[in-house]
Amino acid sequence: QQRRSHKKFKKLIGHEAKLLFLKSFQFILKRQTRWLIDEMHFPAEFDHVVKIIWLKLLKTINDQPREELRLRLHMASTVSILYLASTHLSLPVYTCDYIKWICTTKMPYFQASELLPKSWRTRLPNYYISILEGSISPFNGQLCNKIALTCGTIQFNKSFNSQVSCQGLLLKLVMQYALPPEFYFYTKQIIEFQETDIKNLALWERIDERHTGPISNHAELRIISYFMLTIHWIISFDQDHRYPLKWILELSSSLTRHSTTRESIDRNIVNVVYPDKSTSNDYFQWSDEETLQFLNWMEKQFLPTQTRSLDDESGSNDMTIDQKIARRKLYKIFPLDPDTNRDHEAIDSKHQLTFIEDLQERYAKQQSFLNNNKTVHFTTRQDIHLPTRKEAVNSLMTQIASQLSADFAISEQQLKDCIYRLKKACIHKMN
Amino acid sequence: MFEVPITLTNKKFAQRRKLKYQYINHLSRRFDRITKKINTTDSLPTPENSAAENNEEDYEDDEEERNYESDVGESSVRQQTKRRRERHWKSVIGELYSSTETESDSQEEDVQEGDQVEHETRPKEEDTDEERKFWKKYEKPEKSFEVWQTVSSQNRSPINKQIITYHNFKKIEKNSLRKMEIPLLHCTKENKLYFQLLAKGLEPLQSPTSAARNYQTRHIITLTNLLHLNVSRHNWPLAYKIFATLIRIPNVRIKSIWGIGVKILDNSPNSSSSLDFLKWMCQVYSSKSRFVQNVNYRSVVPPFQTGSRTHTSKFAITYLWSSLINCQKAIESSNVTDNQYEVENSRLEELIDKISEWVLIPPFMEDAEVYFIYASCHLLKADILSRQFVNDNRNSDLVGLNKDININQVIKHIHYVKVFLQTCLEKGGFTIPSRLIENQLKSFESRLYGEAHDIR
Amino acid sequence: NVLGSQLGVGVQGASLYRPQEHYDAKKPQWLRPVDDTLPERMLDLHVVAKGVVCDTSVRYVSDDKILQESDDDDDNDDDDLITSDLDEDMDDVQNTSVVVNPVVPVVPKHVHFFKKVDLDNDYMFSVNCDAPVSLQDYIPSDLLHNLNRNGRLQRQDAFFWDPTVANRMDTEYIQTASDLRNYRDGTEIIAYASGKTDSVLNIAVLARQHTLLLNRNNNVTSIELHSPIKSIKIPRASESIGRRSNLVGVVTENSFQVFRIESIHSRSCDVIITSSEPLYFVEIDDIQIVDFAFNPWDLQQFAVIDIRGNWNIGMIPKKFDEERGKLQIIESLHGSIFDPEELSSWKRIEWFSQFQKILVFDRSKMFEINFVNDWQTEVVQAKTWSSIRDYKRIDDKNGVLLTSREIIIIGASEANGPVRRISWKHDLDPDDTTLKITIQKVNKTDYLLLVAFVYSMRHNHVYIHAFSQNKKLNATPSLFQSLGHSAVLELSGGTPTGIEVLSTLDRIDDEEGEHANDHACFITDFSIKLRKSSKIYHYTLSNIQTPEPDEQEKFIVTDSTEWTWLFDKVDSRESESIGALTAQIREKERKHASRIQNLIENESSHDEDKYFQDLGYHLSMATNELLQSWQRNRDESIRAGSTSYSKLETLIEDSTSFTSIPEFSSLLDQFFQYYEDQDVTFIDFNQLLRFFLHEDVPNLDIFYNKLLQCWVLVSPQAELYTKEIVKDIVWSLVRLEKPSLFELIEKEISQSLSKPYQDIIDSWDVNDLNEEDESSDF
Ligand SMILES: [Mg+2]
Repeated sequence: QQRRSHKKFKKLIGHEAKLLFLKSFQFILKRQTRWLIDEMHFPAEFDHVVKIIWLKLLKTINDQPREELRLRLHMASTVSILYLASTHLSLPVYTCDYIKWICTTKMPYFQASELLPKSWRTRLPNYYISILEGSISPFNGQLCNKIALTCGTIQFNKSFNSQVSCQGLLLKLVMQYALPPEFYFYTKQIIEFQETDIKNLALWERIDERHTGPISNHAELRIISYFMLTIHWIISFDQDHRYPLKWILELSSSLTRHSTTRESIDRNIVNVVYPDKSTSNDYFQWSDEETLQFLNWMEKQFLPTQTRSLDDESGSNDMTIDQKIARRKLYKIFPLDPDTNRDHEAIDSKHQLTFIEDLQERYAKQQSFLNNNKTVHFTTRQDIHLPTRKEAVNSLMTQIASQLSADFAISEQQLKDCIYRLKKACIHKMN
Repeated sequence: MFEVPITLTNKKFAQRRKLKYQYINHLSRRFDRITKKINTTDSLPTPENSAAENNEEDYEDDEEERNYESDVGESSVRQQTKRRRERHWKSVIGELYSSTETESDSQEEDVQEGDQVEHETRPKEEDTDEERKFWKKYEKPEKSFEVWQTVSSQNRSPINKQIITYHNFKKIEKNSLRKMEIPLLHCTKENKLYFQLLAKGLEPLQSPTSAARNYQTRHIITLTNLLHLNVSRHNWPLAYKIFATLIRIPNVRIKSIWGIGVKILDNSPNSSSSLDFLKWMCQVYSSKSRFVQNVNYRSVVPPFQTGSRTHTSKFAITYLWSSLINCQKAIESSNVTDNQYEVENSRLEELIDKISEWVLIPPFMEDAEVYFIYASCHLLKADILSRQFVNDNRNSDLVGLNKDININQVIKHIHYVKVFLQTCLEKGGFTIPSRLIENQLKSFESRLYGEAHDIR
Repeated sequence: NVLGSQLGVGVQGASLYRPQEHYDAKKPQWLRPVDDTLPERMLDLHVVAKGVVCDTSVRYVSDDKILQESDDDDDNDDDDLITSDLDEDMDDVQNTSVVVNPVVPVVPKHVHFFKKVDLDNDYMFSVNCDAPVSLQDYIPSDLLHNLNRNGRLQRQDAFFWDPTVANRMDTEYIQTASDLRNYRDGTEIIAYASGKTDSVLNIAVLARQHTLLLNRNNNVTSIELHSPIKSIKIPRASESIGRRSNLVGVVTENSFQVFRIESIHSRSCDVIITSSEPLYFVEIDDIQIVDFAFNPWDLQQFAVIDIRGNWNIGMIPKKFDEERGKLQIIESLHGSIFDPEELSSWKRIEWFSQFQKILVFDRSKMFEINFVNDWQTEVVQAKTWSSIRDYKRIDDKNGVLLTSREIIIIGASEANGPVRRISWKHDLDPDDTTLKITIQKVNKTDYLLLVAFVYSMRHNHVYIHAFSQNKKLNATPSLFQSLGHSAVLELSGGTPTGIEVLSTLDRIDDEEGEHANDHACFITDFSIKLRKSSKIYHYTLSNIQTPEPDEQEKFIVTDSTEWTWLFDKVDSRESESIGALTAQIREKERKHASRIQNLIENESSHDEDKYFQDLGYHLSMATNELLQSWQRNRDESIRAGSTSYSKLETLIEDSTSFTSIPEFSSLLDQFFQYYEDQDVTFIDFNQLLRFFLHEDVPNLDIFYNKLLQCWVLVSPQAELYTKEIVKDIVWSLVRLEKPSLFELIEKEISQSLSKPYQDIIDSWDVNDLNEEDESSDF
């Protein structure tokens, strides 16, 4: 088959190749858009907004001189376009959602090149194909930076709504960490104290291609930093003893609770993708059920993206016929057949908690520890087996921080820098 | 945490290896000169004369290096151009590099756009060159991970009293570090730091596995760790599912995890037999080609993973041992009189036939352990047959001609045991309790004639 | 087999068929490399007890107690008390007053600050400053800089580790002279480094209760060595000499020093120590010593090896006093295994099977050296597939070698040379350079178990494998069998930081307690120090089926220093500001809440209906106006490519003074319906609420109720807060947009593109390109 393909599918070069790449990029972008509308029930207008943003981006490419044309497009660019569009429409979805959707291979991203029409793929230079394979999920704030850059390239703020819907993110955070509802307002107050108006939290337009600028320029990261500062300050300066030590301990242990809601399974998948996060080793503590759910996801979502070219007879020329027969035999020895696995069905038939049911259980566990009656004071005698309040708060913050940095695909150092800056700013403003 | 069954190649770590070996090669060449000098002149270097030497040494050294490089280089250059041409041709016809192979920094860079100034295009081909030079110097064992010389009296040498002094080491180091200046100009900031700390005697905390970011690789790492974890917890249904998933991901090397597969099948009641899997391994991965010392096998390490003309693969040996032990257990558990016994017995015959064919070809024909298994088969056979004489009351048909045939059979098997044990000893490298086995054989013989049996 | 049995998960090794004598007797038929007399789940270990032994960041009560001369007679009187007071004082445990003065470095008064001090930054020089150069002390600017950075992680620390830092904690049984005289088995002691620069050596007696603890007086002898400690070792002596050691060896950044425990006060647990003079590296070859060993048959003899591979044998004086306190290097007994290819400073030295034989290691080689008969052999060369990670001596005959691939038991052959006995392929990451091994011997009546703990600085997991040595198989006493499987032990939650050192105690008195008779049950224990943690924990593990339920386990917080600096480094001024800020915020929130509370109380009154009418009126007025202005600026917008949109909330002033969620919901519905056929779209916010609850939300009321169900559990004012949040969220989502602009803008930009780009954008809406495209192209 190699002789044939050699003639017929000649790789394009130069400008032709770039045009085909743009076409392929658009193809994937459109697939992603359609997935969001069909599966995530994004409004129909979303398609138009994405298209206009893409058009504006294309316009900047169009306006570059052909000789020194640099596309600067990556798979993360698709996500940044989608993110801008959803922000314009004030949809309550954030970088963490996009990261989750790509890492769980729900939204086309990894191996996206496989989606392309075969005739395109065969003519597209390998370099471009490797870009469209996605292979590495955005990390260390790359996505934020990409969003800011895309924003700057098309002067997004001029023509679109660039105000990040802070309220939605706050609600999500409060629920994710199972905090009492007042933390929503505390955080909001701090934001309003520092930013004057919550509406001032807008997307950052980055013009400078070379330097990313301080990480705290990104509105979302500011919000999560304020969120962390608020928790820490409120719990540390807890004058009326509403938040006792045992509640803090219960809260932090509820964060490592191993539940199997669809949400938490998705989070597990995201966590294993980022190697330098402390959450990346969580799977050593997974329950059997969690592991099983992960494997089910592997089987149904991940493996199909992996073996696409293997099943496709003509597509995979890296295997000889003999090797393919050998493979089949091996798969027969190890069938991936749910019937052979008796435990499988038993667990599947079990009722899976929904997100909100699971959340209720987590709140219910805290109930007895919260001091809602102000007349009760905590005992001054400290149980020797309990850590100090300070230790407990630190451990809680560490857990929240590592989860946040994984969710938003930033490094813990970046989160620290951001919090540090905002803390300084708050204290400065206070004095 | 655990070894990952794929070849992790990433540009960052390739560059690190290159720097390391480049430096090591400089250092050792430098050291050789110094020791040569010391040994010939037989006087300790004083600061004065070594300073005087310094210049001319440098000159010579460069010269020598050039010679050396052209020597070693020629063949590898040819190989390189061939490989380069191959790669070019592959890319022309549109064959992709697998995504794990290009844990591509190029994409990382693309996202980082200018966050870091990086060199975009660098010839990749030379990367292994220095490493190759280093690897060429050493014997690469097939059967073990290290070269072991446990019969030590043979390679004893006087204690090396020539200590390396601070001064001498500094001299070597200074010179070699100077040679590294240029290569260091061309590498990333991170790798430069890496090199400097490595040269100071520190060791890296990260490994390619712990730093891998590729999406597919991450999942393979997770699955591998989960696999080991669940095997260690004896959670066989999960372990089975993980294994079955893992082997379906492209690029996963079954050769490096087959043992776990065997263990899982042994513990999964409703699954295929582990012997089927081992048989599959033997069919697919038994290589009878020669092991080439000169190739840089960084990913597939021969012990436990592969076989060659001179090295029986571990899975083949495991296959034989498991087959034999399974036969014996099955025979013991079945009753002499029923059909099952005949089935199991004929399976032992089959195994003996199979080994008799295997020992005709390499690598088995030179492998002492295979002969020992062969002998053990006959030992088992002789034991089973001779036992009938002990339990004579039960076997009424053991009379006359039948008895003679059986006696001859036992004698024949005993003979084979002796022959193959002898072969085993001749092949060497394998110690066996010969005396113990001989005693056993004697006791089998004594069973035939109803003598008092003592196995000692 | 020269390579011994090579095992791994699922790998069969050579077996020996052992015929049955009698057909009926069910005896094991095979002598296999895997011990099948022990159950499969032998290594299912779990933590049965866990506790903090001590905290290295705490300075315990006792002061420095270092004596130049030992005083044996002193404690003789107490010897008789030792048995009795153990029982009596058991109840006094609560008296343990861990009074704590954190170690503060004492800054000399005459310290001056210089702008710049030129220092050769070669680290080999920096360790040699034995005598002060001038009378003035200086603090390098690097150090000041680092201190100012509030302990932020250095790049170097994050990516590299120093192999010269081996164990800064060891636990062992020792026997003092009086122990010997009184036939006492010995005392469990711990030695560890502490202080900001790890320059303080601490030695303390341990007590055993549920777990291993510091003695009940918290009496720790601390000695400031004025140089960072790199390694501490308490030697184990050969069983054949019938006594234990009383030495502690310490390598610091510039010297090697030996301490001798002269006596231990049985009641106060005072440890009386004498010390040798430090053997400064400048006195020998100026190269840093990285490892040392004591001759197990002669506690007077030691061996050291430096980072380049030069080794020396030396002698320890019988008594450390003023004239004889010096460690003697024996001139003739030295050598080198220097290898220019070996960059790592990691080297090991250990005694082997005989008095005169040592094993010397670097990462790629193992040498057997007979320093009396002057020969050496390179036994192992690990240049290719693997590299050496660690070696531990087990007893006079055996040791265990950890490579990047295997755990190998090395034994002495009949000719006393090292041979491979059995190996286990551990499958751990071969590139993990931080792997180390510790062996715990477990003595059972009919077998000896060697439990190997393999640990790493990269994670908190301990890989456990075990080898058994059957005492009944008398024909082959040196036969080791593997257990055929391994276990992975996870050490408590928290952030995984890695294990710095894991230490076991070599118990001879095998009281296995209640489970002594049970063939397969065993208990084992170890002490452990995690990286970046100041605490030393002690774990007791057992394979008995049911673990003791431990409620406290949940509440033991592992130290997480990662974020402390950010939140802790608060000076009083800062903390005042923050206090004021939080007070201000809580006050604001209280006011906000009480305002809403008022509204809720008046909900039933007519005011609210009126409010909603007004709200609706104002909204539509403002919307009409907005739509008109959009129409006016239509062409302008198209040209600029900017969309027309607005948040509903911004159109009106007072948007939150109501409490009825159903009324609010119906108001919005009516409003949207009213504008249905006009050129404006509202996004259905009910569809968006799914992003919060991760399930379909049919209407706002259900959204409200689901949230309330959660929060009612944790807040007395849940109803109020939930209402406010729901309102806030809805207002943040509701917006209007002029949809007719979209296509016009698209067209406008598209027309400004050149042809090829127009072609690309034209295919935006083509869905299935596959077939159509292929046929058109070819
Ligand atoms: Mg110890």
